[in-house]
Amino acid sequence: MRAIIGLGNAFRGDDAVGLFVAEQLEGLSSAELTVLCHEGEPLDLLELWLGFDEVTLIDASRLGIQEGTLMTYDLLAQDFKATAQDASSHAFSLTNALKLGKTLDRFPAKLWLYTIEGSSFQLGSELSLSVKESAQTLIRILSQYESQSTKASL
Amino acid sequence: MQVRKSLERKGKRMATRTIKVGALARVEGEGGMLVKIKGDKVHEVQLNIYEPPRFFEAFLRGRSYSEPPDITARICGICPVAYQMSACNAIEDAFGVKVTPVIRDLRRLLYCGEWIQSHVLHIYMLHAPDFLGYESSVHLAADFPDIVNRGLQLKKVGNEIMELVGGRAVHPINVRLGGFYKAPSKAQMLKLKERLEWALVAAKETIDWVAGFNFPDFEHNYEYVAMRHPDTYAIHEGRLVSDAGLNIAEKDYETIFEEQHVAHSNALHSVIKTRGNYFVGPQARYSLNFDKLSPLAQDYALRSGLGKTCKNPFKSILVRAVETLYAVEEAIRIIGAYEEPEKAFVDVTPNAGTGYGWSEAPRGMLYHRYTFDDAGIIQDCTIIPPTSQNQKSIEGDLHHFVSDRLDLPKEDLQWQCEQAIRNYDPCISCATHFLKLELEHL
Repeated sequence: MRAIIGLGNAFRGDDAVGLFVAEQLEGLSSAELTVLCHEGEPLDLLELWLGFDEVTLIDASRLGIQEGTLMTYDLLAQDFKATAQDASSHAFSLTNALKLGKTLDRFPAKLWLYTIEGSSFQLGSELSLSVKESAQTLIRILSQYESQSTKASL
Repeated sequence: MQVRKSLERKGKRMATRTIKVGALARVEGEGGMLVKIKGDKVHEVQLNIYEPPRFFEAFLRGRSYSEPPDITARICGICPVAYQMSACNAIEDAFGVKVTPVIRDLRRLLYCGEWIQSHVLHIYMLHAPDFLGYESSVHLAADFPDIVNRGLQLKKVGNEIMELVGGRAVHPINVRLGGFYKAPSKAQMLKLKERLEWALVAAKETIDWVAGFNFPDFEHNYEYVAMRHPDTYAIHEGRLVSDAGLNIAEKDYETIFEEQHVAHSNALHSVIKTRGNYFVGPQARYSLNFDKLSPLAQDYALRSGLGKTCKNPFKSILVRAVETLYAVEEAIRIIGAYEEPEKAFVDVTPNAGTGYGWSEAPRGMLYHRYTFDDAGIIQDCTIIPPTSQNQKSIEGDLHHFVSDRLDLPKEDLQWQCEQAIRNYDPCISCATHFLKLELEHL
């Protein structure tokens, strides 16, 4: 069982990119794949991903790099201090939620994080152009991956 | 840390000493707190809000009367039910809607879910590490995984209430004006009751655990403001009272209170027109409504070391633990008496007019006002979240707190200031975006 979970705040510009990608991928939902949007605080992820073997998270980043930069992390192999800085106003940061999940052994067998660097997080703003372009790239990547995974399981 | 060193160097060049810490990761959302120290006195304390909460008020104008419960729920990922309930109360007030007792109870149950979820998050994940000398709950979990797992499980029970009654744990979708789209079945409710029986034990253990913390000796003396109901511990209905004799209905709120612009913040400071700043939140609720708590919650509160009122903001964690126990008990009571209604909502017909509503969000009273035209289109609205109401008092508290601790090494002072801010569980995401704390020695 796999899950794709888009994270973010729908009203905060580029912070919505994870939700945007997940919404675009909803058509891929099947008995093997669940696509979710999660707008709440990230700590709930530790419950949300229970029962899934492979989970892909999508969130906006604010690392101070070029807007629209798409990055991938294998979270089982990551030092979180060096990676996933969350850009939104979540209660318990995604980084801390991931650290806590790892400490308490609450990780799925495979856990990926895709981030797209945002630049505008103001209330009411739209996705930036380059962020939207990167989102389309990510949608293609994940669609291809799901297509291959489905074939492999047949 | 790099930023901090950079600013320290900058501070030397400017013949001042500046301490800057990173974002306060364990405060919901982010904003800015600046403390200026001149000689042996605190010169100024500013809670800086970079973004006004007015986006949603403007966004709602011109929209239908049915939309605020869903739209305002998106203001905060931690307290969506509070926004939904205050919106429903205000809109139903404008249209003269009275809900049935079972809908009233379902709303209260949903709200209990949010109180459990929010309070447990704050107790276990954000605040307890301060008292135990841990940098974060991640570090606490490494040494005490069973305790942190208990917190996660208890929080999950709050989520489960919200999923059953609200349709999902975050931003519930089952709430509508006049009630709910669909009422849960009796069987679903009874299944939840089994989980709540476990939560009752966990909530008691939480109080016993928190009661053992060492609390700094500090008290404030602000006017406490909270809702009060004649029959029950007020959550989503009641009048607004204070320990200075205030006792008003919703429609009178803006004649007694006002929002003021301040130079250092984009957000508005809420004050009582004749008396200035005041305080809302768990401590105010508890202190004004101790007699309305259940006997069990009262017993646990007193044996934990709390009095019938609480003026030490560091003990707010204990008050939250007591309110968590009460919310679990209340959920069990409501489920035990529940009979599935034939209809999950009462009909709502719009008319021109203004409605006023409030409810007790986990962090304190949340006020909504809406004005509609004949077709139920929103002409004007005001939303005043609890953190905005507490801003001025938080600044005042930090002023006194730092004044008494100026001889501390700056690292210790910085740490204690961060802890002091977390006492208020400020939901900055309701009012702003990023929060940083700066201590500046002039």
